[in-house]
Amino acid sequence: MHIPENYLSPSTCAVLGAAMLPVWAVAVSKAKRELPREKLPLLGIGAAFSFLGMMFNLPLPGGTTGHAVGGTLLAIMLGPWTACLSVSVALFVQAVFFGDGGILAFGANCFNMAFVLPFSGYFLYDKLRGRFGERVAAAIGAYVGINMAALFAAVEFGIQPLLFTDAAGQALYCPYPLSVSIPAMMAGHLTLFGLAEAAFTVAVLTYLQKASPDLFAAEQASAPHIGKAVYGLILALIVFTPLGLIAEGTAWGEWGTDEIAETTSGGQALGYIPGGMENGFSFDAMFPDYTISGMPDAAGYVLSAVIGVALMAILFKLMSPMLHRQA
Amino acid sequence: MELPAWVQKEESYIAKSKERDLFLSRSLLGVMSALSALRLQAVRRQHAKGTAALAIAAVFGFILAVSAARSPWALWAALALELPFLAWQKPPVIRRVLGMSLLAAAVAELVVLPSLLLGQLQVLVILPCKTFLTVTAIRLLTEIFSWHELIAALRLFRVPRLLIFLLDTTLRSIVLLGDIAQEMLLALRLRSVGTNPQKLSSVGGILGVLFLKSRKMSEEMEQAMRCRGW
Repeated sequence: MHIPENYLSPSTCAVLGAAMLPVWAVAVSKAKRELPREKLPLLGIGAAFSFLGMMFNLPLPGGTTGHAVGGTLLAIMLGPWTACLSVSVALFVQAVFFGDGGILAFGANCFNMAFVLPFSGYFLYDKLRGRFGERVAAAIGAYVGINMAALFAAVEFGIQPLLFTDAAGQALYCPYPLSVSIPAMMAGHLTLFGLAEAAFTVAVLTYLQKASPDLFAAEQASAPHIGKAVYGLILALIVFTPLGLIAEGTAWGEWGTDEIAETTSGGQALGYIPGGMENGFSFDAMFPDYTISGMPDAAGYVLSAVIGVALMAILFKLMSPMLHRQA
Repeated sequence: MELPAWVQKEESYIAKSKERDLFLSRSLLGVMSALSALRLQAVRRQHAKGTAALAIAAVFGFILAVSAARSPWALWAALALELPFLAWQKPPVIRRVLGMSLLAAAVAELVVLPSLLLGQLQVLVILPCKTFLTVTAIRLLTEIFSWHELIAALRLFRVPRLLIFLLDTTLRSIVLLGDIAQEMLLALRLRSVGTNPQKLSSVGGILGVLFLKSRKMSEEMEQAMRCRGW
């Protein structure tokens, strides 16, 4: 779910980053105010835990494995605001030091995984635990939480081709419209990743309840909210609506060439048959304006020279240990 | 000497199927690679004060420019700007940087490949190129500067103190907690025989212990901070 660089336009990233600013501000002030001083280091260590949790692979049916984000678990253990900060920091470390998720897309990734996920997960958990018990509520919260986050990510991807195209109608960023991005994202998250998230949350909670029941004693004291589960169900329904979209229309990617011209994306017919499909696969069609002839000659020479020299240096440096070994 | 009866009894253990403890080895691999990357990151030469902040600003501007670029020419210019920096580095650094950025570009190509059917041909070329450029830039930044320097530089950008403290604590405790996780995973792997019917509870156990350890660690850290007059 980590959105890489360049799939979202810089302006989308800016909007989502701006949306996260007040959330972070509130989270920081909440942490300052509500967290006792002796628990301040817990924020950083919670982030480290969240980072390591994302490294863990969980066994899934069929011998496969998947990894979880753990946002709901952190929200249950530390409170949603603290979880928001912890997951944000974990995402920052991933983006900067491990290339997982883009730098510009950091705001968008935080919005999905550090805001939408823990808050929707915690909301459901809080509403349902009085009725269904701790573990079931946590599983539902985790499942819905990660699917909400995936849905937001899918919408962010899907609005790119609607908003950002060049004069020829070619997408500048993520090329997939909503009708493609939502089913593609949700198919994985409604099944495998949702399951992984729920399993992760329940497994750790089960262990902690057994090993350290005093952790939960304080939380149990607060009155359980029964009867407001309706909100939760509505939330779940919102998450499940994309299922309806999948069933609609021709399956994506199965059009014939004549159908492609009529394919609507975002209410607008595509109106042309991709050159590459009409004429078969040809490089000329693929690189319509990718010849360097489009730029001033002198600049082109200079750029090519710099790139060429740098490439030679890199190749030589990579080759030289091998040559030494042979000698 | 008489052998006890239980020794004489014939062993009837047959491994039923191939045990899939993939989750253990994969988790172990994930944690280990993250740890080694961070360790490698921590020991780097010192740079003049302010260089790191300048580099962060430059890389951010570069990524922004690449992301907003629309003409192939701007991408060539970006490449010409970036490659000399890369060429300046030592071979192992070049190998690490290129390994990651080429992989990222390949993944990006794979992701946009179906857009061929949508008639979005430009994206097929532009997106992987941009991915290569941005990943290389950010990897170069983290290869050249240690995270101590990078975090210290964030101060110049008026990032709140609490967040900097948070980030620093996080990176330190990833290494400390990661060591514990690695030891536990290894211990579980060594003690695993036959089929493990309750894989999920094993994972829950390790992560649960990790969480309890992290709480303890934070208490200890708080005490240490107080002792030093924080």
